[in-house]
Amino acid sequence: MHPLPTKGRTGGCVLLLGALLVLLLGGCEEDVTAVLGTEQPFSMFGVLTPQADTQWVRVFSIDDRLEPIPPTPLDARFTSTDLERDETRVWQDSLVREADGMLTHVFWAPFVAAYGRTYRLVAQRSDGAASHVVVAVPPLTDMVLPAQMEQVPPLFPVRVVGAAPNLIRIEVTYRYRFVSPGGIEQEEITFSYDGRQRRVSNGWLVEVNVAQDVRAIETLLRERTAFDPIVGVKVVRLTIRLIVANEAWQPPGGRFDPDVLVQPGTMSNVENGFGFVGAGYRLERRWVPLDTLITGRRF
Amino acid sequence: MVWEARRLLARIAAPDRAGRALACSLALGLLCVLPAQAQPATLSGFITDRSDGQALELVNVALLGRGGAVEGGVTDRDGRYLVPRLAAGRYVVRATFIGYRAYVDTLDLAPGQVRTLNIALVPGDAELDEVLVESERTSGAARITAGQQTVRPRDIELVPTPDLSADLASFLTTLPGVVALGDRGGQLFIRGGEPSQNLVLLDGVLVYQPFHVLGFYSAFPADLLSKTDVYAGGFGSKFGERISSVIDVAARNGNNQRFTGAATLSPFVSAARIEGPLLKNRLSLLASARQSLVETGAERLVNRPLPFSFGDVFAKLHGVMRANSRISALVLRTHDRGTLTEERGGVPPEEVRWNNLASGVRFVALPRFTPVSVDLRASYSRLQTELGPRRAPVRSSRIENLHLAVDATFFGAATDVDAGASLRVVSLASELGGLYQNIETRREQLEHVAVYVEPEFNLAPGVRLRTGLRAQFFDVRFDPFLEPRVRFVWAWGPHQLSSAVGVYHQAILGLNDRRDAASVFTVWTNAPRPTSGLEDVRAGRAQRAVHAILGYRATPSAWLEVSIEGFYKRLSNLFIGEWTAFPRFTTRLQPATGRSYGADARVEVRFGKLYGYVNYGYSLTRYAAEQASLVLWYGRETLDFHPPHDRRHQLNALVSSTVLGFDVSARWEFGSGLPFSQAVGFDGFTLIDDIVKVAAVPGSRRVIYARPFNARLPTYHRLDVSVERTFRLGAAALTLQGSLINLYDRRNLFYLDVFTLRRVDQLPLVPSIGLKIEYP
Repeated sequence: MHPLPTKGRTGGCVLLLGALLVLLLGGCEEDVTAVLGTEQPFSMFGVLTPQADTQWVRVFSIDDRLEPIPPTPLDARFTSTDLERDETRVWQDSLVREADGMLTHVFWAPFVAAYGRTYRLVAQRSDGAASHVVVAVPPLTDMVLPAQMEQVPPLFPVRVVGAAPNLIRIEVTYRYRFVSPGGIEQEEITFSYDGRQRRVSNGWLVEVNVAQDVRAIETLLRERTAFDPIVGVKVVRLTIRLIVANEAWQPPGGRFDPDVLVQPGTMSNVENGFGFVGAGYRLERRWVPLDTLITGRRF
Repeated sequence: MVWEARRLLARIAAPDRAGRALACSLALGLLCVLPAQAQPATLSGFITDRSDGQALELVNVALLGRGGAVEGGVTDRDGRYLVPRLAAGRYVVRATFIGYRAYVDTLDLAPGQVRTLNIALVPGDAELDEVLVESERTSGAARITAGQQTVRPRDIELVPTPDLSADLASFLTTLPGVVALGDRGGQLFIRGGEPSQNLVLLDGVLVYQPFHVLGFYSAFPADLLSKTDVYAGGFGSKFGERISSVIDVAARNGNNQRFTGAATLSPFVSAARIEGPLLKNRLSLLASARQSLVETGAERLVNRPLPFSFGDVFAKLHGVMRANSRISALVLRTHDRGTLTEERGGVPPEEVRWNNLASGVRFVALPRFTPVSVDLRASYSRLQTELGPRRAPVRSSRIENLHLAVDATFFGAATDVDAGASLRVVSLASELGGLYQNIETRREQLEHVAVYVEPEFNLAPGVRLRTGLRAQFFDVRFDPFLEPRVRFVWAWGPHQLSSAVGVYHQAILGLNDRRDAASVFTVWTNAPRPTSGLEDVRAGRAQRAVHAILGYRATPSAWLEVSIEGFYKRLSNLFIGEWTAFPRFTTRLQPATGRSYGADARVEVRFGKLYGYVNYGYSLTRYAAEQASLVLWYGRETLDFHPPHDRRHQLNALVSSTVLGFDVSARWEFGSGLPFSQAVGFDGFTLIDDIVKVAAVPGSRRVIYARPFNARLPTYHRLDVSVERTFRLGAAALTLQGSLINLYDRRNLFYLDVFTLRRVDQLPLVPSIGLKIEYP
């Protein structure tokens, strides 16, 4: 038979157990890993274009905390290599202050990106970690407006002749006049033709539906002003602008929505890093449409 | 307002399904209470405590007629009772309540007479045996009925806090299924719901953010309260406009016999209360004020910055207008200020501030023309919240509302019918900005109208069924949102089975930037209205929840009570902040659905001077977000994730006793870790959508998230202990208290700013002393 513990011993045991529990519970501290970290050193954003004599690429280091960028040089060596000629250029770092006061690094190099060439851009940290992107500049193409006999109402066929890999930001701008209670007014409106291009044997075809666009303009004017529909609108000038872009420059869904594209990995072509560097150039033509196109009536 | 009334009448008259359902419910409710007896008499009145004039709830009023027939009623929280359908004749009236001498009298009722009999019970020895006492008990840790739990001031006072100003907030965090982010922040998540989905009422007045920045405190100190009903779900048709829970607080009335007062002092708060009759027996005042002393007191105890300041002022007037009516008016003001993060790397800390104003007038009456009790209310409340420097906040949000409501209870033989209507006009304004964000400003004005009817059928002894229908008119669409609800209770012997099912809608949204591990700034906005132009899949849809609760409770002996309750909530039309890699607060909404389910188990022991309980809560909450971009980002149309309040396991244990004349309480709480989103790193983003010179294009910082809410924060646990003793000093009483908060100095995480890695922990070991003096 074991002797029963005395009250004092019981109290002591409880205290001891309590102290042990306190030490145990207090000792099991847990840290939290908020940022996993990555081996990928940089994100890059920019466009190479043959239409500028200086090329620019914005470079962000991938950090383990979100703090303002300090006004010091970025630990990065930025180069571009023309893969056909094996020419390498070292780009210069520059600090740019945003409108909100934040600083950001923009690298630049004074050269013209050549039509049809491919460049390899590399941002390399001093420890050797590097992000890179291969950017193909589209070959030279031309925008061709139709001869008058080709203009079958209501469509106005515009061709991009040549080996253009991709067309984006296709915009048709109308400058028009109309009569309002205040007199004759002149305005401009732009319609997006993104997604309405199609490939043809010698390039791309964009069919501008002038009559439909003019009807849309008239509808807008009726909603907004005391527009006189009998007089209608007089189109003074049409402008079609588009970007001949490389294959990679295609936003998902055909829309450049920053809230979609901001997600890392979306429309990204940078390897061992994030971001997007595209290449392309603008084509633009202006003309005055025939009245038959505006009314949509055939001859 | 006129338009809303027309809309309501048009809807009731409309021959569609919604209109018919509403009309049928109204007709059914009225049929249930139609008198079936020629010229019955009615007895009604108010029952109060003679010593201080407080309304007494749950007083049994029994009328013994000729031949031994017994009719009776029970008082509500205003002390009102009503016994309808009485035959003319002589009755013996008996009013009994624990701790009071029984009131017995004889009265004669004439045919058709509506008699008012107000009774003032005298405190004295209970004449009821122990078994009856147990069955009459209405509060306690394990006493839960279909999600509803009643909290009395004594329950609150048992929870250890760093001072003697016992507070409802401390008690609420002991409930299973109630998730708090810690000892600061002032946010409660109840059974999967968000703080903005909780309806907090003080005498029927909506209080938007009553919980102070330091989690021990709210605008509801125990000594101002009469009772609190906490509905973790499954609440009845009287309550609406929120889809998660109801915290229905009843403030007590001031003493209408004599002036009394109290003052408390501790390193955390100082408080003062005064009450008394402005007109004896007719008009009383109850007033209270509290101010935190954390920055000057507690900060020195823990030797670390505790930049918190808060306070509240409360006043209530209660008047006896006539024998059968009462009127009360209250005003509550609160203010909070706290710096949730610490300065690091030159980034200044963000200060959050909010202040509430809640005021209202309430009129309760027992009209003499029909067996009905009426409750009329008019109130105004407002919440202003700011984040950032005091003179130039980067984010601010303001919500205010004007509310008119009428509730009535029609008394029948075996059926009582509650019915009511309300109009709430809500104004919203917000300005959102930030280090990485453009300013966004929103202003809205909304009108919400609701009508409801809810009969309660006493089917058999111990078997009660409440079936309700609430029609809620929000601005987001013309048709009403219909909300059928059912509550069922079956009690036999020591057992009770209870269940609740209901549908709930909410048009007002409270948005938090949940990408922060413990964000507390909330911006109030509304579900989108339908627009004629663009098609918006979110438009016209209010947040919706379906609750289902099933619980069992047993009281096998006078000292033991156990309960277990399971719940399921299906949430739809949720609107949560759109997921974005931009490090900014956004009110762009994305639709989501969700579900939350779990179970609570509670054991409560009352053994002599020993009182204790253990409760455990398991819950699982999961959202499925529907954002068009998700397919592009993750290859799926919906994103399933556990929101940041999904605490899987929760355990609370409390023990309280009196040892050598000292009241000793200890509480241990444990919570499993909350979800948060880990980041891979941070870079920047520039939109490349044109042939641009990127030096001239504005850029933005960006967060590279691993995946939304892919990780969990560390577990949370803490032990608090308090010891107190009361000394008599003549007519006054002095209470001294010593407490240890976080006894084993656990480093519990409060706030983690994933963007900057700034971590703020909850309170370390805090020793504290407090004193309270009461007179008389």
